[in-house]
Amino acid sequence: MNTWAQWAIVAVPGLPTLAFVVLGVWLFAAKAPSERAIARLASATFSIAAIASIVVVWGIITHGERVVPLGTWFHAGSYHFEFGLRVDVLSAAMMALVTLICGLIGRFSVNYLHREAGFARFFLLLFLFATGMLLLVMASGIDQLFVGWELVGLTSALLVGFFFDREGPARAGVRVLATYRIADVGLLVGAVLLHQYAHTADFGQAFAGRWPLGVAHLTPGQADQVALLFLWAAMGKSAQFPLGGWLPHAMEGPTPSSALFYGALSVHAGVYLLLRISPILEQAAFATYIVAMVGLVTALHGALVYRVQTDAKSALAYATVTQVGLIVMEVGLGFYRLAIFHLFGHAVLRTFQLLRAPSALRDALNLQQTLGAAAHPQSKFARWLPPRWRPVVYGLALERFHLDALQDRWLLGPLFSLALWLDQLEQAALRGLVRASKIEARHP
Amino acid sequence: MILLRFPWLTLLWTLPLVGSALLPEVAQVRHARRWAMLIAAATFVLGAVLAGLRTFWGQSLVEPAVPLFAGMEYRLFVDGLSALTLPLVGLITTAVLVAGPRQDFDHPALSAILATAGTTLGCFLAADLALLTFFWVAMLVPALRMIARSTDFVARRLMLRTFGVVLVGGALPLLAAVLVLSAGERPYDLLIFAERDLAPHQRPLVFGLLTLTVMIRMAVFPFHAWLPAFFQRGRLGIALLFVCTNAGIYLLGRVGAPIMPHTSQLPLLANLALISAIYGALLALVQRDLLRMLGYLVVSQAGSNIVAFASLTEPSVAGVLLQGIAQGAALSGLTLVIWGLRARLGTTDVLKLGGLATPLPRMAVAFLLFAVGLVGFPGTLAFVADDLLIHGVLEAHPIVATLMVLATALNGITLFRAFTGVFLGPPRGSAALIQDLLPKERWVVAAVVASILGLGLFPSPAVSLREDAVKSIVLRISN
Repeated sequence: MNTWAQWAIVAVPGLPTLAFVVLGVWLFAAKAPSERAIARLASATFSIAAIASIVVVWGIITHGERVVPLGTWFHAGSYHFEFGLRVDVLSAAMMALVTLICGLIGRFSVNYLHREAGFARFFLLLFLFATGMLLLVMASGIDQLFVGWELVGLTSALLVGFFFDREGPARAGVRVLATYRIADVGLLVGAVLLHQYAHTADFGQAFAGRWPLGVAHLTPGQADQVALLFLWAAMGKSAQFPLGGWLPHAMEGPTPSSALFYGALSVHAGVYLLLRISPILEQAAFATYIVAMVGLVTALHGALVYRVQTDAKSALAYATVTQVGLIVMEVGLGFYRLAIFHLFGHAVLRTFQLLRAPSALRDALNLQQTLGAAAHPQSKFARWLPPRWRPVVYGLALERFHLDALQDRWLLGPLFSLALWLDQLEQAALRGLVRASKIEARHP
Repeated sequence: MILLRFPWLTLLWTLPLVGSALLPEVAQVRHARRWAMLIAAATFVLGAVLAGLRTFWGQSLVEPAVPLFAGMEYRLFVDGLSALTLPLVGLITTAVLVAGPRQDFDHPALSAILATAGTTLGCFLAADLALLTFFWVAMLVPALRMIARSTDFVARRLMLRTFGVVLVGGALPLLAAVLVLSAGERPYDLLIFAERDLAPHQRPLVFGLLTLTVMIRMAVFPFHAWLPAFFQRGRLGIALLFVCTNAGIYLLGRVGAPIMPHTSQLPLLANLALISAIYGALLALVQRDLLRMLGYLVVSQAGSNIVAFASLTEPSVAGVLLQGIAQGAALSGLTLVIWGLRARLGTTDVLKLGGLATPLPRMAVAFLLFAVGLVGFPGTLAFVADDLLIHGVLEAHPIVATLMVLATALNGITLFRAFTGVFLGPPRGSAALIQDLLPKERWVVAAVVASILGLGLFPSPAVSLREDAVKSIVLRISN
């Protein structure tokens, strides 16, 4: 392969990584650099990365898919953690999308976060997110994909808590991270199982043939196991039913990060994972049925809840859930190319809408003044429902189908109650051990 | 040649012990602390040089044997299994002495930390089981002396009763194992331990006694209660040396593996360790006190480590040995940050803290970095260790591995909740005048972060240093 093409592939994730290291060391060792310096660093990073990604995409069009092996990170016994960058049709499309949107968001944020106390922190996390997302989409193997996945998860939770002097963002950050961590169990266990079944973590070796027509070297049972575990991970990251309760809470973060994470990129990471393992899905009949059902239920849930939201960002969050649900359903039905087009279009449109969200109220008022009552579109959707069902569905949609409450009551509540009961039991045992009441009476 | 013949290994463990004995002679505490720092730094440098020599030379460093009594020999050695622990003990001791709050160090406290460091090093250097047992017991003495000095009657009683379990319960089975093995020529020589011809009934007995020692020392459920109490009420410097060196796993690898009677004996240990991993993670989730929370996190992670060791695959054993270093460094950093918070604000109760990221931004970053370093975030050494460990366990027991990953996920949530509770949200109480990381603390934080990230990004030397040790453990057991 041409050296320049290799360098271009390495430069795409390498540049944001370098920018993250430079800004991180600068912030830790000295005072925060000026906004102008950070803005220049961001625009240089993303501009060069975007040019490099155009070169890479051109290389794919002219020469076909490429893999740049970067060596073995570490090994023990027969297990090797290989590091490399894979660029095929799927990853090239996502890579171009990531560099494009990160560059746009970076430029937008320079003005939007002007004189904000966390200006440097935002860009530090943006660089880390871009690194993680690019490692995720360009990973040559599932182990490496997990590295990017985790980076995206942590930066997401930290950006939700960006306005850290308020209670809401801090709590929302914990909710996001907790959902991610529980869902990530699926990715980690699935990755190790794939490694064990296929005897490799490398996509090129595990799936014979070009994406999406490859064949996985797994039995149908193994394929179902691995696919369901990956689906669990994707449900967390892509806010699929019933794990999507965190998405509206995540809108506590600054608008550019909401656009980046929950409009454009992070929310599609789960879809990317499912698309990447499409050769496994092809052999996992049961799992694909579940994938399609999860997507369908999510889309219906999102569409109903979207219609009763009263603030722009929550409405956009549920509109996103609806569309991502549809994309997941397309993946489940085997329409992989359609899913990529849908993903690309949705990411771009939703980024635009979320970036425009702060001006939405003003736009709405202008529209109302111009058009009068006609500005409120009348929904025909409700007519499909029998009249006595309408208030029930309306009430459920208004309460977001009680998903958060159900999770709190049936999952978190019992978990915390059990832990508190065990703690009390242990404390009582310890107090008995030292006969604390007698001692306290004797030594008040 | 003279340099090579010098007893460097003896110097390594005696240096902090001699320092500990001489510190009371230094009149002012300020000066005594400086001397203690100097000794700890010298111990770290010497430990690092010896570990480096072992790495580049590729052979074990052995000091000639000196016969003592009843078959016991004074003999020290360093191989791949113990090499990395030597600089780690020095690093933790130096970090504690440099960055620990001034008011927590008087003469006895400084002496106790150096004495614990010296005996810990002795334990890892001993090439004789009886000598190792001597250091094992001696390691507990400075901690007990410090507990006995406590003015809080209830805390003292609680510590003596819980920590007493470790002293008596943890050391007695090991002493019993030494007695059982006393027959024959050079009965305790660890260099030839694998070749020892033990009677069929002796192997399960000795292995059982060792297992009990390890379970108590590593705070495996139901022997765990001493650890959270020790973190909350004991001396943090000593607690760190106790926990971060992973002496239990070392004992299992060094002594347990060569005489393991049959792998079927491991499930009891593995099951209890798995319960410990989940139980610790659950209890850590609901703790209000940061130090107690750390104690339960250690219980959980120690449980995962034992489960991985018991899986007996090459990646899992390599992961466990690496995890000892990774968790040791990250836990030290995290404890130092919490210790600093306690010194500044007088509490470690999460409900009384909040919004500290504004007055203490560097502390917040340090807390977050150490937290992600502890739960195995990519780029840190614990990620590499976790990855190896989970691959290894999943090869042998898929469901156990899933439960372990779940416990690790809960630990990550616990630490992030603690981070948001302490540093994010609206401030609780006045914290405007408190000082962020002092320059000396900043240096320590930077050094620990550099070691976690440096080894995390370039882990191969750390993994390959122990490759032979891992292979020999797995091979011995599989044979």
